[in-house]
Amino acid sequence: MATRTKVQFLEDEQMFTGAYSKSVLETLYYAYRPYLGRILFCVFVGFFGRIALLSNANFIGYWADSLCTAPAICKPPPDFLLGFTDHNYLILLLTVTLCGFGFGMFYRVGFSRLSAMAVSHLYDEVTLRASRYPMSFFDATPAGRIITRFSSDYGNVFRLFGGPLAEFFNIIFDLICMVFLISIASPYYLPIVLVVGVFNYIVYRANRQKLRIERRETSRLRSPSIAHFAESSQGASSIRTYQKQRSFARRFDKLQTVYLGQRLNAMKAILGFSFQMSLLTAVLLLTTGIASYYLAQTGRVSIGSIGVAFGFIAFSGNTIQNFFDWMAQFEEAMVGVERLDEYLRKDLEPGLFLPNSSRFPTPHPRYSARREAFNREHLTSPHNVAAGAAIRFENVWLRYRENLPWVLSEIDFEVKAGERIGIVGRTGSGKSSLIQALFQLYPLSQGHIKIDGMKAQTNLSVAEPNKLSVDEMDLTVFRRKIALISQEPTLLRGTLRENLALDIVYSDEALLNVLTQVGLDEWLYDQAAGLDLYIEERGKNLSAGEKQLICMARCLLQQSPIVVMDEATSSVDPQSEEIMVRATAEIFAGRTQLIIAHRLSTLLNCDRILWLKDGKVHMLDQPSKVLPAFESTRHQESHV
Amino acid sequence: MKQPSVFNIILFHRFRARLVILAISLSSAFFGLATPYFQKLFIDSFSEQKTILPSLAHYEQSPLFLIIIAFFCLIFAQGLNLLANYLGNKEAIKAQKKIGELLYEKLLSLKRDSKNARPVGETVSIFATEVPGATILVEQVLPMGAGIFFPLVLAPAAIHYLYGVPLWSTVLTMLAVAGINLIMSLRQSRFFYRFKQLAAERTGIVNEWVQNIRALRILGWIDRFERKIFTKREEETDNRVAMVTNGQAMNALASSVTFFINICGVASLIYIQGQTLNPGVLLALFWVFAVFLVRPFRQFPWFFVFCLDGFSSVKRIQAYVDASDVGEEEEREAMATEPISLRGPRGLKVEGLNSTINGLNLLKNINFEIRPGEFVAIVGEVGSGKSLLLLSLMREIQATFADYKITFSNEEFDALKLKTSELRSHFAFVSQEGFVMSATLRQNALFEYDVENGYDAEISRVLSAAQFNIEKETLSDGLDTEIGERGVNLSGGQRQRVALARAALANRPILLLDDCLSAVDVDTERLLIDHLFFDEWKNQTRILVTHRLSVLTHANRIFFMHEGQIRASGSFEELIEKSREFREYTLTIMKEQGEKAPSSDGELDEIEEANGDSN
Repeated sequence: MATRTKVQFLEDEQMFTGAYSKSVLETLYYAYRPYLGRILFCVFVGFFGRIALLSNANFIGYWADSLCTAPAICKPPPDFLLGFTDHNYLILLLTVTLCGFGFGMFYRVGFSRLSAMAVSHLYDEVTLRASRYPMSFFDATPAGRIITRFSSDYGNVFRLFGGPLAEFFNIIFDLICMVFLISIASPYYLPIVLVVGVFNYIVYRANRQKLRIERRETSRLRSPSIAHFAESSQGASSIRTYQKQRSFARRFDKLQTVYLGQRLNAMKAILGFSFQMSLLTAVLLLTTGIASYYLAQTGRVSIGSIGVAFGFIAFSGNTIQNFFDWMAQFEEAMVGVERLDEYLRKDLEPGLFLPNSSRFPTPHPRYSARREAFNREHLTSPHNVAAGAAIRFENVWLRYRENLPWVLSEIDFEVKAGERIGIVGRTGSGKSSLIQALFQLYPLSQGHIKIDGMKAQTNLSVAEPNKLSVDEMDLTVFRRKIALISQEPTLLRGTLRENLALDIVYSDEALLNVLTQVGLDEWLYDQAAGLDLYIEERGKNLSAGEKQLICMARCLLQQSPIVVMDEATSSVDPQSEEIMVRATAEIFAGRTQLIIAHRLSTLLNCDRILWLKDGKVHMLDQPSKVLPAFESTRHQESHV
Repeated sequence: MKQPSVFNIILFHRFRARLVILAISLSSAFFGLATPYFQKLFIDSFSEQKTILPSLAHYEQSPLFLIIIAFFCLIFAQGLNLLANYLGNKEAIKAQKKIGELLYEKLLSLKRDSKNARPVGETVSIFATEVPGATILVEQVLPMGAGIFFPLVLAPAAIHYLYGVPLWSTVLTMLAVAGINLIMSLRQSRFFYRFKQLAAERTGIVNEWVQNIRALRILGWIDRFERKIFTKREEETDNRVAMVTNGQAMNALASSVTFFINICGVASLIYIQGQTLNPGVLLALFWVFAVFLVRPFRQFPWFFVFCLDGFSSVKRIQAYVDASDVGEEEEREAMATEPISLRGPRGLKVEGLNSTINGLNLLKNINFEIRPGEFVAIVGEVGSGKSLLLLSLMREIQATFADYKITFSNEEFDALKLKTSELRSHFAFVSQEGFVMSATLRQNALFEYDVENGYDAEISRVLSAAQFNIEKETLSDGLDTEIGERGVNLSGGQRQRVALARAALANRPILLLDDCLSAVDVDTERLLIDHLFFDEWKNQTRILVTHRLSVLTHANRIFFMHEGQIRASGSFEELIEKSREFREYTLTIMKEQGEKAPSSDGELDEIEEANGDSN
């Protein structure tokens, strides 16, 4: 793992160095587009606010000049201030300060609010796309890595593109104002500021790579200690039984020490960078001082302008420094944007569309309003599913990735509407793959699967993705026609109501009706919260049987003419066996059923049995013919 | 037991280092103030009002010398500031390490049934976010404090003393500003707390989304689940927007407040003191307020925010640390003790075992005896107390025994007198989930991170006995393959088999197996019984909690549990004969499984008849 992580890290590193690709800027543009006018207005106001605030120094300089009694180093204030009394000056200062404060407030608050909202859209758009990636993406990418994009990467971007971006722009205003106001006071100081600025940039460039590596290294080393902490929490009982507390504590100590050590290293790099910048600020002060001395000696500057120049340099001396500090932080944030951008540009699973409401105009297929409405209509309108639907596999070939072996080949058979088919085969014979293929979770390499003569639309035309041909239906509609009942039912955190139907709002009556059908009515009366019963992660607060029945009720609501029952791991709880049997015989009677079972007795009532072997249809016939043949090989094999 | 105070660690752990940081940041603040002071002297040297600041007559002749002093003061100020920062970080890291260790120990010493046990996610978030949050008090607040408060106290005094600006006017203004800042900081840290909470909640939903993406697609719930994420995201954005609004208002105030104070100062000089201004005074005041106080005022509100956040983190950590358990002390002792090595099978004699958790009596007066080398299966419905029975034997939950003996050939040892670590040395345990850590397969099998070489042959042999065949499971790097969260993700069945291999390698006298076959398929189950239970473990005492009837005929004896009691025990045939409850239990299973009864068809019929009769 150590080596693998290293390699991945290096790959990441290569990916994210160099100039930001055009697409990142484009992505930011998409995000900010709805707010662009308002944001620019805010920036405009903010800039003037800053000038107003900083002009305090200039006015005080003029005021000082007007009070000056040593003509050698005094210049009269400009014409528009002639005859100003102390009182006038004070009012003037108050006015510019109030303006500066007001405008500054308007800008900062306005800008950061808009910016926070703009960046949030980026999150939504990335989610919309990631939801629709091909399954192979999720197989090949560890969940943790995907989640990181949505937690810490987005977190970084979200944090920096709110308030700190406003602050960053403010610093840019300061720099511009500084140059501007110093020039007004006395242009002699300008070259000094510029030269020091250039040096700051050089220092920044020299440190940039190192800072990046340190930061990335820090975030890389952080997760192992957290992961170890988490798994120790899960496995505490095992750790105690085997008395490995000390081994685990040592491991924790090691991971923590490595991470914290790296954090200190990164800190050193950052502080070193800051120190170099500070030196430059000090040099700026010194050279300004020396220059002032000579300029004053030769009578080229007034006391007022020396005051102003020094004021600025002392006041915003570390502005340049701050600028580059922030710059380094924004680079990190840009890495975050880049990583989100990467997820914004990947291809979707063939056949899936972005919703019509999606805002970013990436070249992914997007539903037309009409088709979306049509799908919705299909989803909510009642169907007659009691008679089932016919399924046709037409020479289906499937493999999970390009260079992997075929998991299904030459699969060609038909299931009549309402037929009950049992599927048998040894582990690895393709039973699960057949189900995956039926749901079209992986693109078929060859062949078609049709429900009532219609196949799922998975080949979208680039020009008109929304156009369906006569024998095609929408992939999501296709999937809706099949309900899956597995022994590890999927339950989500949320209310019972949500777990029954997240997609459509049903009346309580309809929900009670399906719960009664599966026999959960009495159970429901015992629940104080009723349909609002909160279901914990993976249904931890329910028994295995309850979980399955809830999923069964969910399938009933789903109105699918085809029901697939996957008894993947034999029983966890004897109760669930009973439920499965009831499902086939009663609850889903009449619908087309595909049943994968370990206990062959469950399959006796099937109309036909499909025996899969090495990804091919080995036999498809009546149970009395297939089952004995299958059982005899099974016994042979297990006694080898 | 007395729990250590997190706050003490933060403040007083390595107290001298804390003082050093404080001293350094104070001297940084001192030089920080000296810089503009010399700058001012430098500028004054051009004008005629040389008496504005208490000048050092000696240097007045040479303005260049003054600016050079200012230059060095600035370098010292910045350098010392960075040094204080560095030391602050270093100390923060030391404190973080210490608190991390504290939490980790706590984690390992909280028992299964602890009412203080929290969801894994929550515990992890305490470690991952609250600990760094708490150490901000050392990292930021300490170095920042001196740099902020020193100038803030000094400035009004200096101005009053030098220019006669009334003390009350500056102090009042500054207090008002501080008050406003404090209120805004309080709000800010509340927003921030909520922000962390919402982000964690959203990540929770995202996690669920990624984990269930297949199921969501099959159900066609993608759209709606996304809406769930977005709703949370919107809530988070709303909070964030409120937070930046407050924070930016705070910043806007902080960055202009010095100008206002300056105006107040000048105004009070003109209107209250009735002084005539001169350029020197004017520039000096501007200097003091706009230059001395800019940084302190900018950092002022954030100083409060850091303090408040730091304290709220400390409180959360402390709450977790304070959660103490009855058995915690013995767990800590066990933590520090090596297991003892035991050979040969052991038996168990238990009398009057009771366990009450959260007021519920979950194990009720349990008595049994298990002979060395026996294979006992425990069956019963979910919630009948099977797992708790296993856990109570290892002192993993709170339980009381009238008598608890471990037997070995003809001897008996009082298990109640054994230290926890000695007692546990008798057992190997496999949980239903089959715990797997992020490490290599080898490390997982040995359950040890610092693996010594030379066990590979043994590991491979035991793995294959546990039906974990490295080639078939497609683990590319063999025993070196990283498994777990950060490596190859194993299925439930694979995890159980790795955990079984681990139990086999541990070679303890008694095996406690908690439904560890639930995720393996029927064929594998058969192979496990043959190769593991009756070959590898033929001389060890095996106690297996199971739902599988197919296993029962292999067991020497079966304990049938119901509502926290052992209702019946004996071989399968005996139980069928004597216990009606057991008959009903097996009957439901047999009906459901529809397969042949583990014994004979005849027997099944008999039971059905018997049942019919009794009705």
